[in-house]
Amino acid sequence: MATREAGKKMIMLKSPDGMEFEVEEAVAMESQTIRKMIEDDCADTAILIPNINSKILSRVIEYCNKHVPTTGATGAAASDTVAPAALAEDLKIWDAEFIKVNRATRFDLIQAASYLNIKGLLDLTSQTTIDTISDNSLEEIRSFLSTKNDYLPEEEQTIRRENQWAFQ
Amino acid sequence: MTINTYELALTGDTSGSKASSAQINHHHAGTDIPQVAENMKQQTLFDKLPEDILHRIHSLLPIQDAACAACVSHAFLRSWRCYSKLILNDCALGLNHIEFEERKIYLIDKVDKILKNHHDKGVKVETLNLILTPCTNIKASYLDRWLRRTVKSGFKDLYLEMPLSMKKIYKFPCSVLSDEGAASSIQFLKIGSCTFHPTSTLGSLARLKTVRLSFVHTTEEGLEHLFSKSSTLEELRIFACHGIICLKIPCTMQHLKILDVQLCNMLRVVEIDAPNLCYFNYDSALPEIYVRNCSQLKHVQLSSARSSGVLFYARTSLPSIARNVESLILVGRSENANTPLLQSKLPHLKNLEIRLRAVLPKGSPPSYDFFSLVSFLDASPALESFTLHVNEYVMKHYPVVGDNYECPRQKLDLSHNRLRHMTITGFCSAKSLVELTVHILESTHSLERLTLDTTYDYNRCIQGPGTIGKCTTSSRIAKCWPMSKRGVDEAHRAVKTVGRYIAGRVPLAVQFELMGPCSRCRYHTGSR
Repeated sequence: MATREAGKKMIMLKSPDGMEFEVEEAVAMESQTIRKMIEDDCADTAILIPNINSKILSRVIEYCNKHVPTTGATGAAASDTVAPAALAEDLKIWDAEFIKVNRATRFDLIQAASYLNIKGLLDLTSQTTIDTISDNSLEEIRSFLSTKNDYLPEEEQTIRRENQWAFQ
Repeated sequence: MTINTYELALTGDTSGSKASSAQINHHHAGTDIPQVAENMKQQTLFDKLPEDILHRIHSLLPIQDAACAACVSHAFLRSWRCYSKLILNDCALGLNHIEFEERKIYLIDKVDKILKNHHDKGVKVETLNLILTPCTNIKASYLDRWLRRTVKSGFKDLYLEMPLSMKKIYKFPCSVLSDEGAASSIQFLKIGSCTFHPTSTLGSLARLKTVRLSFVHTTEEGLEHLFSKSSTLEELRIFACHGIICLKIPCTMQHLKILDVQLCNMLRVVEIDAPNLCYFNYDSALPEIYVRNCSQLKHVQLSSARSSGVLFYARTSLPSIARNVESLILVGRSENANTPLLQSKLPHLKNLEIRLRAVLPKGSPPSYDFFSLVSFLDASPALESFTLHVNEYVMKHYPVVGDNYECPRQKLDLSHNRLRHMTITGFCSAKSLVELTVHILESTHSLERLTLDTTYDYNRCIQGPGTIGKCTTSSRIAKCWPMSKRGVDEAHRAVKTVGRYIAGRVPLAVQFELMGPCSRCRYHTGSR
């Protein structure tokens, strides 16, 4: 149930494996999907987040908690004393630490960010994936992404020929 | 802690994936099996991602990597067939290690292949960002073919940049912007260094938001055709287009908010009828400017790189052409006539910033009385913030306040009752500058903060940890920007002048900051 605690509106998020997370409404609304539910008044009771297990959901909440704009009640003190540039720099360092996860978790985070529509997290996870693709051979990319080569040899030859310029 | 179950969640579930029951069983079975299971699980992980996410990730890859990735799997190939944002320049195509003169051949070859492939496979291109600066003497037939293949219905964003030498040689094929072409879908049109002559065959540009022309050879007639079809345009930037003598912005451009005109040296007349123009930046020789409906024009920047008199021009003309201006930036190189006291007003002006950065001819006498800037304060009853930047060259030949100086300037009966913040950088001991400051202090009861900086306002954007930048008492910058010996000497003298003639006149309620050269300031020795 949505409750009030120290003047902040709380929202309950439920994962399919039965975990419940009580979070501030402002934090939950970092997700555009949840924001829409709240704005459409669909969030009176706990919101069930399908397809996102409690481990991933907790990481997503951790991210949102860090990225909720500091202009609100929670961060007023911080933004008074720290310059915006320094704050952004801190966030960047925090993001870099946050995304140091194994591939499985990262792909789960991408999916969660996509479903919950959290642009910052989607950008972060996508960019991290891109960094593993750039400047690598096909085999390395396949290995990094744990994806299978489903081309027949002649198919692969054709597509390689088409994009020969990119391998030069 | 707002997440009550957070700790529990981190320790309560270690699977990390939905299909985790098999793994958990293995987990209890032995030491090697979990690793195998983990690998098997991961084998399908990326393939399991929805294709729209894969498209998104793929679309973020630079084009060369994206093309390589197309060879990874069928899913990537499908995604490559939707790769619609083509950013083609020597860096994105991996050519920046090649000698500049030789890049041309490779660049043309790769661009040709990419655009041909995309065209042959029917890939719809939405963005074409084509930077061809190394390609001197590129054949017009190539460019025409590329643009005709790419800029078609559904196309949104064109940025074409060519070598300057092509300016009069290559004529942009306006037919790609006909109704059969990309007219109804294009949103951004940015072209550089070519000839651009739209005619009546131009389609109705129903979604066009931004136009930027730089070093483009065009005419008034051509622009007239463009503007007549661009009723949705919001932003128009014209840079170094010397063919324009009279720029007419018609009233049909109802959505135009930003007009930016720079370095159009032949321009003599600017006529603005766009009713919702909000921001106007003009940097060229000062023309005749007519604004028929200026009610929304709130932000104006006027700069005159070559001719003098931007302050005089602004003071005499702006009350009629931008009566509602709220923020005004004036950048001048020299000023021959004093700013006159006039009846006309800028009743809504809140922020005024003036930059004078002229290099006066050596030995020429100072002709501008800084005290006459009072005219702007008098004209602006709502003014809240006034900033003046002068550099040492402007002030070089000004008489300084002498030992017996007692502010003999006749008192003007003017008061500025809204002004709260005043800043002068490059403050020196020039008499007229001291007099201006004293006048403002004595006639402004609303003043809250006065900042006098005796160093110069160097570009603040280069600041950052470990870089050189402007010295302030609170900065964490490692090094100060080097000043000339004369500049440092003058700054020290200015600090004394402020102590002698100004500090004592600052009311207690006013927050006063005087910035002098700090202990790290040093002379410019030529080494850096």
